[in-house]
Amino acid sequence: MTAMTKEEMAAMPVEFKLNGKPVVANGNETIIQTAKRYGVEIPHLCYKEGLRPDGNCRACVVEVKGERVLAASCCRTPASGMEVTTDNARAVASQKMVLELLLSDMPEERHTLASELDQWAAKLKLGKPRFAPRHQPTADLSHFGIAVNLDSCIQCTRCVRACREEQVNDVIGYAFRGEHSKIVFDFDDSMGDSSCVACGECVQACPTGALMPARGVGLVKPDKQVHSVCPFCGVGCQLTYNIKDNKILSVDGRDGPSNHGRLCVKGRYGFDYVHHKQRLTKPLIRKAGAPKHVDFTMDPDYPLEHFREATWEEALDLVAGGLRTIRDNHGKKALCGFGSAKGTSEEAYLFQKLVRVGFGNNNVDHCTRLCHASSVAALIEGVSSAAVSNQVSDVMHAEVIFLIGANPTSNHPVAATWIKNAVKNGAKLIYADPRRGDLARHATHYLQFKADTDVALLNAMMHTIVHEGLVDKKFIKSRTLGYEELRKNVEGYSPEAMAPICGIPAETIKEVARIYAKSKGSMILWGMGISQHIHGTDNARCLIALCMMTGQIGRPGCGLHPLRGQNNVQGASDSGLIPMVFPDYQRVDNAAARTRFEKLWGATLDPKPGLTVVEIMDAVHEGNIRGMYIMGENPAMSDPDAHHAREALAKLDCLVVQEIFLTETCYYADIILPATAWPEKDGTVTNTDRMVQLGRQALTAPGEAKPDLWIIQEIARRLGLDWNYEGAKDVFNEMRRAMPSIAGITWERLEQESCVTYPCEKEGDPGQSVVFIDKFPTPTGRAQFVPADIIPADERPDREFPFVLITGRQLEHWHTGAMTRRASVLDAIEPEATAQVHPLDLDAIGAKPGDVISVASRRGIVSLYARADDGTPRGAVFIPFCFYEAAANLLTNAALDPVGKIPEFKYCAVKLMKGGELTPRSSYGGGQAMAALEVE
Amino acid sequence: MKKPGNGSTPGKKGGARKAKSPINGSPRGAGLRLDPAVARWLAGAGAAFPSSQSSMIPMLQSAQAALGYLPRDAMQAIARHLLVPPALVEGVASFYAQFRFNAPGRHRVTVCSGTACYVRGSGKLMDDIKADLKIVPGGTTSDGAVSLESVSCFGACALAPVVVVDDKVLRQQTSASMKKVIQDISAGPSKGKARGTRSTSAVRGARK
Repeated sequence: MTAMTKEEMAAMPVEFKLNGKPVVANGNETIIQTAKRYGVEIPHLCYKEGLRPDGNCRACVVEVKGERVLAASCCRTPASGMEVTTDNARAVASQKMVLELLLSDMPEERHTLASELDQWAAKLKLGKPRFAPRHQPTADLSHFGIAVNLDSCIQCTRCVRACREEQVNDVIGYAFRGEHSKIVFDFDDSMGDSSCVACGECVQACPTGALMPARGVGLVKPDKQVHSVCPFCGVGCQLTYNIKDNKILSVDGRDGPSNHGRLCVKGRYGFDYVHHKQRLTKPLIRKAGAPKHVDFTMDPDYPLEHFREATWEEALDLVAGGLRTIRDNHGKKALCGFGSAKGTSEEAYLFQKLVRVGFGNNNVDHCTRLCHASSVAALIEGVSSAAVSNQVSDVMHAEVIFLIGANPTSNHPVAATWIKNAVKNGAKLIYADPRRGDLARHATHYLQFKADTDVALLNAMMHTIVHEGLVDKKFIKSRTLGYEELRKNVEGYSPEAMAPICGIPAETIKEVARIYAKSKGSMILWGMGISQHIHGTDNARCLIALCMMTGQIGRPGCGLHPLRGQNNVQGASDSGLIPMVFPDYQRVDNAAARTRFEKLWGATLDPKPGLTVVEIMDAVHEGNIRGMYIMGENPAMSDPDAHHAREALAKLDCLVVQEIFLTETCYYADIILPATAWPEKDGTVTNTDRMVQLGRQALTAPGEAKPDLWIIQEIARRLGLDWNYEGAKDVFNEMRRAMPSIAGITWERLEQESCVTYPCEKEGDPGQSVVFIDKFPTPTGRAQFVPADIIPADERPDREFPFVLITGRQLEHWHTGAMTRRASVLDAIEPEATAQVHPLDLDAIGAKPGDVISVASRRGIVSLYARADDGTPRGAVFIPFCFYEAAANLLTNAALDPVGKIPEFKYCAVKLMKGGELTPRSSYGGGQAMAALEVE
Repeated sequence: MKKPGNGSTPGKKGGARKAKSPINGSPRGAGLRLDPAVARWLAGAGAAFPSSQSSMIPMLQSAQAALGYLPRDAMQAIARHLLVPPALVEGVASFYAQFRFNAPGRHRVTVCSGTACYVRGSGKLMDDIKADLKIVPGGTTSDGAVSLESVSCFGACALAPVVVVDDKVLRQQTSASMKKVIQDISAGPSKGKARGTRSTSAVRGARK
């Protein structure tokens, strides 16, 4: 028998006595944790489950027999045979004294109704404190989302640990000395001026209300709490709404498997959009004679200038009539539908079923086309599965994390916290991205390679791995096909030859290749920087090959993880909102699959794959498509070469838009159907980790706004389909029959557990968090290597357009901004469009940070404020695409990846000029008004 | 609240707006333009420090020796050089009495408040100097001439009450004698090169 390691010894159960009774502590449990499990309460303030115990407040002291002084039970682990007393006179006197001293400093008027200090004081029956209060700092109300009232601060440092150790945003510190010591933000800045990203973790950690949601939210008692999921990014954080009078007061992080209570600024402060005055509440029909051309805009405050209100009956009849007329006169192929990755999977499923069965074609797509279509194409080709192999939190088990073409601190903020935690635990982070995101600060190796040279970099890494004999021969032999072709192909890509192309020294390329290949577990995560190129599929093929040749897959802490963007892009794709596949990625041109769905749906289905997002816009221009039904998408903002896309929208005979706001796409609509926002309905969404999670209705919808499922069904009925779904559960049950991967998930289980990971093929199956353990779901069970060569971007910089435009998102705003720009806190923090430019490039055009600059491509021009950012590489400009008044997509190039059909959002040629005319309207109201108020 | 024109979005269309400073594009002041003096220090002495947290105090001392105090830019540069949170640099620097965050005056007046000096009237002496200079210990006069400090003991108790002006120890001072000393140094030339002209109200921690 081998001797136990120190860790194993520490993990052994420990028997000791608690208040005279024998108890057993598990593993590394502290006294307070054991006591809690046995139902013994010990007062505590600086201790919070999930945070590192700090032992600074001493409210949790207990007596240990034979010891001279009392022990802090939050950081003391019991020893075998120890006799601990929590409730004798000596311990209680000490606990009460600590609480009384802290209580004496509390302000007369509290900032929260739920102060843990007050709760403990009440439990221990403390009266009015005997001591005089100390001098108290003044309030800091400089932040739009968070109020800082340090008069309530007890310096327990829970906020410091939440900020620095949990979220690793590194803003809050503990400064000064003695009686002057206090919590500070950065260099003792006001919170609003600090580098705070407003994740709100400190607010959630604060026990006394010193940090609270702004505007007195803590002093209102919610009348109900509803558990749900965040509607923003693909991380899928679980949360709890606090609701009063059908309004969301505040949001708390909930202990879900992907977030464990953490949230980001959007998830915590981005919800009042649902109460915005511009919500659509009645069906609208375009007035006869209202203009409809590409440059037409309108004021979302006054929809009735160009539309008239209608009853649901009239609007739905008009929709069905319009679509039917086109189908009868121009054929089935003249219709199409855009679903949305922001809706539920049930909505996506029903929407694609409506298009395939009701319209009679496969022209149904959604924004997956614009984000990970190329990754999906490469993954389907390589491993026959488009989902991630390992979940984000698996980075905690990885030895090496290779992150490329992603900026998770902005786009997947909570996923980024796991990466930062993993690095703090000793994992190596190799971060490759032309734009230096905040994670570079944590990276062991940061590679700022030249934009558009992903294939060069990755092939050079593979070249090193082949040449230095670091391939996993056994894995290649038993689990893959086509290695020989790949090996021959990477032969031509030596690091020395690729170094000048990608701008990374050959030695660095070799070093990271070795680190990746040699580790026990290397996990690859990637984002849109990989996928949104005309060679996006090739980029992803290289990542898959890199992973396969080293056998870094099929175990915890390794594998492939394309970070999905939208909250439900995985679910919407799984549900078949894709033109070439039915639900669960069954190809429409596969006769067996088609027969199966024809039987299930009782209809004849089109065997020809439909058109993709950008192809549909082209088909409209050519006159082949005349009617479009859009549910929750905003192609007027999100499509590349937006002018071209808007022209197409204006040209349609019949455009039906189902929305919650009058979006830029609605400007071209013939009929607008008011739908429900995420907190107003039930349904499931699937996050980037393949977790199917249940969103629960928390609010009633405003006015006559209707659930999306109801609207789809009403249109279907008017197109002659006999549908009778009673709600999301009904649709979900049909989906289970259509999709083997979720067949084992019952609605009841979702209601109980809120989250089930798929594949979950049989009821009771726990769900598989790691897949491809011993085989791939391909016909041969093996993964396919696909070599890739360098293909340059479609539009390279030249003398006239010397800069590269990179588009993307920013932390505070979601996608086209329809929701977040109407969320007051988010709008107040980031109210207007900015372009990020390297300070030296700004110098070169004679502009200063804050000046107005213009950015022009061959397709359009926008003017916006310049922001200096030395993380943006020289010769490039970054513009987030959520601002209508300076829409980045007026500039982008619609050139497509030939396989994934994804446009090249990450690269086109532009020129920069100082000056320009700003578009006057720049907000939907809310945050800016608040910002103006606070300035005065 | 950022002032318009100073990084914040210029113009006042639709009322003053507080945009997140366009300079602050990415956290940690990416795109920050350092004060030239700080940049010179960073390129010279500063660059010699290894990028590890244990360099923090020596680096703060080096910056203060070169610059006379710790301007914000220097603290920011140190945080970036050591790859540590700005708040951690703040925490360490503000803990130690040796670090100052305001530009020092041209002359430094240090009054002893140790036991012997106190018994011999340094309390009143300090009060009178404060009233005379219209500042509190830790502060600098508005003309940048004099900084006032208090210290616990000089180890020259036989000379109590002791005041040290620049590098000169003055014995058995009175309010009247100090008034004259201060008049002289305020009017006279600098003892050396002036180190900036910023002044503050000298409240602890106030330095913006």
